[in-house]
Amino acid sequence: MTVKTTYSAQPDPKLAAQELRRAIGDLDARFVLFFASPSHSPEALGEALAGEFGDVPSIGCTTAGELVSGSMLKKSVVLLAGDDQTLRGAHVALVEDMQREAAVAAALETLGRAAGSAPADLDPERYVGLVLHDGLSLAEEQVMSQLSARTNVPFVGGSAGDDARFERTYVYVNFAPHRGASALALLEPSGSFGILKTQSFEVTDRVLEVTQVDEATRTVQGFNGQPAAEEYARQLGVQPGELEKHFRCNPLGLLMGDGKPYVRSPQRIDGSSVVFYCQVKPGMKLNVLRSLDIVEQTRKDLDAKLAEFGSCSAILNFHCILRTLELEAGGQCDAYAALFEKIPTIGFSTYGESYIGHINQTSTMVLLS
Amino acid sequence: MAGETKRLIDELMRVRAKGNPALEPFVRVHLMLNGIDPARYTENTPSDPEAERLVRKMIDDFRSQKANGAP
Repeated sequence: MTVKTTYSAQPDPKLAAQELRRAIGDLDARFVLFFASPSHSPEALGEALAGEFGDVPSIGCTTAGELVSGSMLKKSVVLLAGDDQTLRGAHVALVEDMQREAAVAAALETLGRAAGSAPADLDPERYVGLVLHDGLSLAEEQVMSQLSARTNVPFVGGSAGDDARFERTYVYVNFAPHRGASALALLEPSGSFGILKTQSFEVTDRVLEVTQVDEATRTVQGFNGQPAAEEYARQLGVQPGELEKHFRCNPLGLLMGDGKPYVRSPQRIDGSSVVFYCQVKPGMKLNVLRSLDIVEQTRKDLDAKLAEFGSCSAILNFHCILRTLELEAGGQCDAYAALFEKIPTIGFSTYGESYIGHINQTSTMVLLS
Repeated sequence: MAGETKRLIDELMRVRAKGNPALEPFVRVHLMLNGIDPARYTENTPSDPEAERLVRKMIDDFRSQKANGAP
């Protein structure tokens, strides 16, 4: 046995932890990853899981919905455990204060020491990082920028959710819950691993250049030298008063060398400004995007990745809450979940995904062979 | 000085990629997300002090992690 995924819908944290432990059976876990509904008390659930899994290194977070092979869930806990046939090594660390660069550096150094190497010398073909953030911190970019600046190991993950209440989100390290923090794991898979970032948009040739922005609050005041909301609406050919209705289907994308966008999703209009779910920088040229079918595009991208990758023993899926809302609105949740039916998978609906930076409206996945 | 930003970006690529071309897209995306489009800078591009400050810091941050965290 190498990796097991499972879930529990028990509302009592002790019973949920016991059910998860039973499902893992005799697997000698080297690492545990879990995503939990905020319907559980974070402290009570953490304590119950620690009681069942002891000192197995682990990270986890609260969610806006959970995913497990073949199902999209609510009010559950999903869990993956891997043994030494899956993972040669697994180390975890806490970034206690997401706003402080020194805290990110210290957490990376902790991981590096555990793996026996300086962070900058870790081999990105041998290690993959996982990262989970407090999803209400507005600080994911700082953490991701520091991780990407200080090591070549890719860190993939997402921002914790709280069922769209936007009140409190938690990350866990070794089953202890934290706020204002990021949880890191450095994994050394025994086999190969792959990363897939898929988004369901086509790129239009309409471009908005960021000309005025308050980066700290993710608020764009000006596009193309004009008031942001007015210019965004003009590029879409709609009235400014109708702009918000188009946000989910027409977010913006920063195009990379491969022509694929890093999606920047608008959240709301504030006066003549547009507030985003992720940071944008002055001078960025962002293309208007047009939505495609999520299930079909994900199927296409996943099939292509699996064909390139060969056998796959597990998928970790960090899936944007905005995609979940769109799937729910279109009655497509079962069709999306079915894409992962045959592969042990866990995931959750995030408040943003992480891969090199902080992104929106993707499914960003780690595949283990 | 014209071309200084490109020189620093090239140095960052050298320091990070260490001859592994597979790492260049990673560094390029990291730069783009920080508001620096490497394609905008050539040997004739006028100095961009803010971009140069950021790229210098990226080089320093990476080098500092080579020095720290070793067992």
